Amino acid sequence: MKLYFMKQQAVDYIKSNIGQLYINYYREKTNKWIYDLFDYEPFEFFVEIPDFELMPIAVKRDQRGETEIGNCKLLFENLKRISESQAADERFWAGLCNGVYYEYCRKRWDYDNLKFKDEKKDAENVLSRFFFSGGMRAGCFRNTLAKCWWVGRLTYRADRINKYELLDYLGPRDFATKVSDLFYSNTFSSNPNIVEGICNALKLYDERGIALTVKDHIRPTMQYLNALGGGLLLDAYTKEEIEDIVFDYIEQLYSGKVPIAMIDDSETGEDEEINFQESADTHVQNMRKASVAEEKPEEEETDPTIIVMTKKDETTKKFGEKIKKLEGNPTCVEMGCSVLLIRESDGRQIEYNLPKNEHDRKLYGIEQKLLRKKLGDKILSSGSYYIIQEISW
Amino acid sequence: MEIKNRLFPYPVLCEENDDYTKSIFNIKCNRKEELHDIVFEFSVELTNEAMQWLLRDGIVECIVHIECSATSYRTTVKINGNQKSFRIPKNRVNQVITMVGMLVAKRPIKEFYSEDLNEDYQDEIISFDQASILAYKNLPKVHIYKNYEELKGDNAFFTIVKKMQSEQEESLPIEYDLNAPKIKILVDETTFDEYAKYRINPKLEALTSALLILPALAYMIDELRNADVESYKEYFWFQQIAKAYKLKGKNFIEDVLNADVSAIELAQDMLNMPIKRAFLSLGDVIEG
Repeated sequence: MKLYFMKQQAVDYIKSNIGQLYINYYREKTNKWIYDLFDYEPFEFFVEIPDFELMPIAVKRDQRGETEIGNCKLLFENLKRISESQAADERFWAGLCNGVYYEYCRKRWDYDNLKFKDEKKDAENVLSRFFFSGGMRAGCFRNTLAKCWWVGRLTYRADRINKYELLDYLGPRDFATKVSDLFYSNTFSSNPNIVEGICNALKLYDERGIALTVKDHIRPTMQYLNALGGGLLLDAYTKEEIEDIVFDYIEQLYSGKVPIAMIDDSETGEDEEINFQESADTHVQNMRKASVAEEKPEEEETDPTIIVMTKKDETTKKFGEKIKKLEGNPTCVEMGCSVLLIRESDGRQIEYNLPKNEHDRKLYGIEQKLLRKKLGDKILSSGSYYIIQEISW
Repeated sequence: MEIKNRLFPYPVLCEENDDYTKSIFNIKCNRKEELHDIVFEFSVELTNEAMQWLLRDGIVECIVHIECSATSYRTTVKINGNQKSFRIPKNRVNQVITMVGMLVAKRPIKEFYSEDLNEDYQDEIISFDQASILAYKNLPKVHIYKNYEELKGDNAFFTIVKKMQSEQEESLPIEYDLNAPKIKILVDETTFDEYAKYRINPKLEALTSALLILPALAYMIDELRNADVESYKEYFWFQQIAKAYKLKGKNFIEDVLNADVSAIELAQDMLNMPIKRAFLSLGDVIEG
């Protein structure tokens, strides 16, 4: 497949005359009209790549998020050799949207059935979907195809088995709004640790079937992070710390502990004055209290009659605390659980702490047997029977 | 990221306030361009003794926050000691790179005291949370312009764009657009077609300059004088003009824009007096 840039001269012409030309995107099924506009070749060869097809476009509107997520993976995977600098160039995406993917982009926005509304708005929509409007960054996250490449790029993790794991955590629901809130409006998401922390926190809710909405949870949380970034450097936090901050704030929103305060302008920058600094200050104070507490750790009370066979690391401990907040203790043994067993032969209590993820460490044979077992279940290991007495996070 | 007009809930050592009376936190940045990379050499100056101790003990760290918003590039470079070299591949950035040097708390700091603190803080107990910014310095922005295809070898900083006209419209006024790599001069179809006929004739260059480019430049100067110059610095046309003046030993903003000379005079100067040249060339054109 050959990919072409659109020449700057052609981009300038169409954009300058979009008030008259936008109608062609509604009427013309192919891009022949673009070639007819000029007495020169409007596209210029850029690069040749192996053929690939974009996702079939979901018929139902509420399934379009799936299409978008699929395209994020496909576009980034197949156009990985494009540099970030080239991927921020309007001419490249204008070339794709008005060239090889003209028909796809028309179909994506359903221009065959779209009715004319406000002339100015219709023209602006064409501009932002087929070209860049509002500057380079806005263009990258609004253009039909550029948006997918950039979200793919920012969520891609080469070291994971599922390299698009973070994208899956984001989920297809309200995808366009999520992209706008997370990636376009807030530049902190350019930091890979911050994106990862946010996505990891969203995953905890998603895995438990807790539906978060952009309006009630994600947007206020992004605004909160933005406010926090007004007094602190978010980049100085680890991804685990960002995950904690995001998780805690969503949890407070979800449980109604903090009111959902909305700022009308979702494009508020880190440098601008923000209304709910107070809320961020409270968090800072809470963190201060927590850190003071951390400095003088209380002696953990341990029961001498319990043999702890596998210890719980700090990440798993925090993970367990979060899950407990969301859904109480587990009903069966899962990764990240603590399980208290009683050996039937002598009544000794033995505790196993399963790691959060399978790749954290290899599970012992008995731990593997414990998975998905319930309270009171009996298992056989090394010739002894063990009864599950307690399952907790 | 650029820190401006930001209010911190704790004292910050920077150029924009007087939280500290004499202390200095400064990061100098030298830049050189290699074939594939931009190489930055940072050197740090910190004169505040209390912060120097925190730095030595690893309680705070000195970093440079580097960001290119257009390409979603964002990273922090740690500086141990007082010098550091850092490379950015050119293909990771475009348009503008912003950089802020900072001293950031790695963990909470309780009861901070510096002899140099402004007397307003005398009775205050100062503490910093993790990730607090104790000092900062905004570094000069780096502007980058990329070119992939037809702009190669073409240093013109303006472009003439045809504007469609309807049957009812006999002619349209010329418009200008500065929010683009090149200054766009938008002319109606009739004007464009006539311009296209003559543009390759070198004898008409002065005439074209006088008719189309001179008002565009006058407009640009007026706009720059009345708007935020910063927002235009990233564009190719701005960089070309600034470069041209630099070759003449002048700073485009300080020596030209801020000079007490009218926009139309400046524009004529930039184009090497095109009106006079246009009239002088008329004879050649008519005779030719």
